[in-house]
Amino acid sequence: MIALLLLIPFLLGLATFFIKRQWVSQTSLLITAFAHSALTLGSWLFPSLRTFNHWLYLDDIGLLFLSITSLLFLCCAIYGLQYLKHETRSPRKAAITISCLLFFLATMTLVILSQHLELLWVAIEATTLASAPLIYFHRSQHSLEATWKYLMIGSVGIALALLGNFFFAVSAIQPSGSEMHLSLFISALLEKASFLQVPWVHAAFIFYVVGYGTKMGLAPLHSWLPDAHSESPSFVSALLSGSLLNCAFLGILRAYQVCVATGQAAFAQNILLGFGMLSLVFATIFILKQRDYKRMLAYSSVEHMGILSLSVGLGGSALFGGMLHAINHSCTKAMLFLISGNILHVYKSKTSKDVLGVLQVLPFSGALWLIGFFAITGSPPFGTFISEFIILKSGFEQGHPFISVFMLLFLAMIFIGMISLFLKMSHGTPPEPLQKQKIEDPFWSFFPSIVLILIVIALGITLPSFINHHLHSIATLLGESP
Amino acid sequence: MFPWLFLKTIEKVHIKREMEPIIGYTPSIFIGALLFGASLWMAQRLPLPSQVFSSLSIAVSLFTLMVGFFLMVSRNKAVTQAIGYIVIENGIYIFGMTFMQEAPMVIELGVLLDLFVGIFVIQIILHHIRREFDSLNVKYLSNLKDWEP
Repeated sequence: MIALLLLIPFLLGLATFFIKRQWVSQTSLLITAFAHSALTLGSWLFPSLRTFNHWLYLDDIGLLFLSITSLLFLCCAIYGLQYLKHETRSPRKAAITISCLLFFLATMTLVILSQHLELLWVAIEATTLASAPLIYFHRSQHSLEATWKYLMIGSVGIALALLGNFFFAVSAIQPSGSEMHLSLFISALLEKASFLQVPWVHAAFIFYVVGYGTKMGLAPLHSWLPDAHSESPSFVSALLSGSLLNCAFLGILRAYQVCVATGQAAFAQNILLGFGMLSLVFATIFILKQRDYKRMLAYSSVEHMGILSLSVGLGGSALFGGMLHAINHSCTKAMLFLISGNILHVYKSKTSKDVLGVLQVLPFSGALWLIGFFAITGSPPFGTFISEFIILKSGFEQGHPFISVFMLLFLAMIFIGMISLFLKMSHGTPPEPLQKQKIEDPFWSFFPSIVLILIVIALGITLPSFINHHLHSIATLLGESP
Repeated sequence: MFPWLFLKTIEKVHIKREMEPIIGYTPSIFIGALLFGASLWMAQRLPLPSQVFSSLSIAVSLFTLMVGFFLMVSRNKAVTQAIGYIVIENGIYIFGMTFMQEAPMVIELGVLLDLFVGIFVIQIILHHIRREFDSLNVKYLSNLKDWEP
């Protein structure tokens, strides 16, 4: 059953790649998106479906991230069909894009399902390769540069995580010289955690954070992220930001689980706190003077990855808030990127200077753009407000008041930085040529965003008990005492 | 296999030799020697049960890793950066070989497949870079900036 989650996107991706007909690619994209969501829903309802074998199964963390990925892919697929229709005339290019998109989904699913650290590595490297052609969609010099940076920085970063894998293997060698048989299954590592050599576990965790942190966009390793996110087509940016960054975060969480089991949680938390605070600082500096609205969204992703990392670093009840924040951030950010695609399509410019009066030109997208702004900066009644509030509160409870105040300060600065750009964009008089012509705002290009923002609002108003329960069990897995 | 793929690309994009490295050849050799010393020293100091493994193989793997990084930062051509990446990957693998006696077959194949597809994608991008900029010098790949000065 779980194997279908992998096989459907992979096989249909292959089919699309070789047949290259328009109807084949479009139907396989839709079939995959719906089948993937249906299977994910199925594994929520029937826990017996979550296991394939000891290599691949869904634990509670995996199920959460799988649901996010599946939901975003469904939204992006619906949006993407519309987008590909008016952005490219050649069915060949559309087919290649769609097949890469399907491979991308398959590899992300593999990341989430894999229960073996090396398989996890293979899968994360594969996501880089599957998504690189997507970033190069526009075939311009800029997108080429973004792709090259993404490939090189991403691959080297992930190579370091492979070294982290080997360090975990070394940590099993006892000082007496006798070797313990250790496989890199996460369950095996957790079981034998008390036998692992602490210095090597430390080294392995550092390499994991640096390696997968590069992919996740933690500052100062984020340098590829704004380029790749601003140059790729909007629905790809939405997937990169909403799903891929989470997948890399999952890699770090796996290593964190091992650290907790070895009793080294405090060490790991300090590292994550450091990276989280640094990410907030970097993101704030770059957001305050940003003139390119897609890059601003990308830096906002750096900020939110920093918050996720802080939440794990704080531990305790912040873990619960962090997991909730992962859902909220993914939905909000994906929705904003999709809307930015609509704006870019009409205005043909990524500089906020040229984009004025979005509310007049595109009433629906403009309104959603403003609503999305309030959601991403964590204003009530959105879910982001609740999750950030839980993290801040837990900071005070855990005896890290300094970190909470610090985070609050930077969140406020980011709010100010973003509001000036968003308000200028939505109000004002639109440029001459756009005032005269009639511009359509197609239903399918903003409908997915409405669904996503409704989810975020719903999570802000009430937290359904099954999600609440699920998030608590994840927090327990990650070392919060129940 | 990989050298063959690379030679083919290099042929296709007509480059002869790295002409203007950021760090010249003689300093490069000195830096290489320094790196080698550093990696020997580090290998000695790692808290490892030395009777199990020769520390030389660890020194070699660390050295390969560092040379890979050095290649990536000190050369101008995109191909050389890609080669640097392969060298890094090699270094990590030498390290892995010393410790992992029997990694599962599936994983080995997976890693290989990843590397293979990786090189393949890199080659395609290299080809596009060459066509777009008429050169493989990475100095043309620095146009994306956060704000206009």
